[in-house]
Amino acid sequence: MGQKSLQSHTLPYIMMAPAMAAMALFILYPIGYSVWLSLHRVDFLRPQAGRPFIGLQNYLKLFSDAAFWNAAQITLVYTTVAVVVSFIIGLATALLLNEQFRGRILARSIVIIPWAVPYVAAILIWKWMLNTDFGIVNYILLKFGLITEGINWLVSPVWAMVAVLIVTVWTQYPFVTMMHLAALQGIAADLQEAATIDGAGVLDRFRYVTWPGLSQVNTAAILLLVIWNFRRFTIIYTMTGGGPIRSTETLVIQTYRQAFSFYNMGYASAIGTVILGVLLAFSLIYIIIQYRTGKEV
Amino acid sequence: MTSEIKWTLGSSIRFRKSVKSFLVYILVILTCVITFFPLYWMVLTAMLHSGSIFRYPPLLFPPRLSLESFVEIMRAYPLARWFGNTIFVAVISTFSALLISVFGAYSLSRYRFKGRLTAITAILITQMVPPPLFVIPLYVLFRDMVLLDTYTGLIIGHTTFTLPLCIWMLKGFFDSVSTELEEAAMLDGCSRVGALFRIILPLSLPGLAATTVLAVVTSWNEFALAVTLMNTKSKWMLSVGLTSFIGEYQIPWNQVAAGAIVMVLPIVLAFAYLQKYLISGLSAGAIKG
Repeated sequence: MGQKSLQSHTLPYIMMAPAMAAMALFILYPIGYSVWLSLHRVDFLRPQAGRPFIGLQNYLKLFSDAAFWNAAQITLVYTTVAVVVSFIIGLATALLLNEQFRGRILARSIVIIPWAVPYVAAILIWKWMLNTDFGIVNYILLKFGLITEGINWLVSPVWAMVAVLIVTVWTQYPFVTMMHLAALQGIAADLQEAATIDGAGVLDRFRYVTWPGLSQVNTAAILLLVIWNFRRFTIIYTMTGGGPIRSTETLVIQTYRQAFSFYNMGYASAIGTVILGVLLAFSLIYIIIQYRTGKEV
Repeated sequence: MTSEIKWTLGSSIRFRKSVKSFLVYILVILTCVITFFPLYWMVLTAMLHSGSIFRYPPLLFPPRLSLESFVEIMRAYPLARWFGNTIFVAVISTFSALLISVFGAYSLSRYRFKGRLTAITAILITQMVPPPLFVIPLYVLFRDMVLLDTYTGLIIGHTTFTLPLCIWMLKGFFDSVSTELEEAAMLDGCSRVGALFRIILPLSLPGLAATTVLAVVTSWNEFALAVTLMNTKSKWMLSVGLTSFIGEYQIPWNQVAAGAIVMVLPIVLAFAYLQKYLISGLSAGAIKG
């Protein structure tokens, strides 16, 4: 396919150079620098102490710190629930909006809006809606008799986590819907029709026609969701700051607080490096598994 | 006889279809109402009089509305300034990111060169970096470079922050443009860069639009860098300025909601306008890989 005319020795490097330089300088170097920091004691409050090399001490301290394991557990809970719930709601909504009905374009536009809402704005709205005494959410729950007294959303540890999850799912499920809607358009309508004529019910059609057709987009969506939620910062930080009593302090929040509340840059970098390592390992394993199963099918 | 059977068959199918479409409508309306409600509530709260915010039970359709909260918040806070700062940083960093990534994406899409896989791996790894791990070293670095609390620092941060995503998306779009057209153009004497600008870019305009929106939105929404790098209140981004409202008990909720609207409106309008590009763009970028 015209390999000859596409061959060139220096041009691709020249074209790639600015991007690579920028990324190397402001992304890869910082990551490397973070790893370096994690091997040193860096305390901004005591600059005269210098930045001595301390080997793996930060990591050893980390793994024996109950707060770290607490954060790890919270991260796991938050990520799992956020991914599963967003995925299910997103997929269900996509299937619904893929039906033929009047006003479909309008409905699609409405559903996609929350994804466009900036996190900070979303937090402001939801904090008001979840206000214990005057919030509309408690009012509606009380009105329908689902609760007998107002929930202290951001005061109770468990409900604070639920609140953060609600905002997370509200802002991100539309993305799953968008991806699936695009993929559903790619599943040939005549295949669905053929299955219907052959007597396949709704569930069978979903299982044998729709679901396999979505496998590629499912893989991408789940990988993205896991990465995004595992490293989630803004929503949690602005909504609860990790509280109350560290009940929403994920690893990412802990990293930031160690760095900018306590100025333990080295220790914070160690936590951050662990997060990056876990995500890299997860992505690698996930992609390998998907690749293998994809090949067998 | 046969016509009768046909008739019953037809009517039962029609009946099932109408039940189904009724159910679909109910579910669609429910989904839309729940999804849209927070935004409705935001607009409504912003248009309440200060006196009627703490009305209980809350009114779903209050009789009297006003815009006093917008006037108040503009008067009491440098909201216009924050708005301008945010636009300034978003526009410059998006422009820089696009300029750099168009070439990078083209190179990755059209050439098979040594180090290409390394470049792709590097781009993917950057997508997994947790924000603080990116913020900490940049903070230390910018402290040494005296770039803390400057727009330059934040613009550099936002440009590089969005760069990998831009390259990745644009590469996906360029991949879907056939090479034959540019080869034909080059046979006609067009240079390679000329072909990129005259053939590829116009053909991937939807993708370019989607990438632009995504870059602007990323910068507009960015919080971790903005809150860490910028100290002076007048230099804040909207995201940081609005966050400062949280926990400040003297700010009435109608003004908080008004602030949220100021931040939401431009983005939602941009999305509404570019929605069709964005959907095809995202799916191309995310699925094709």
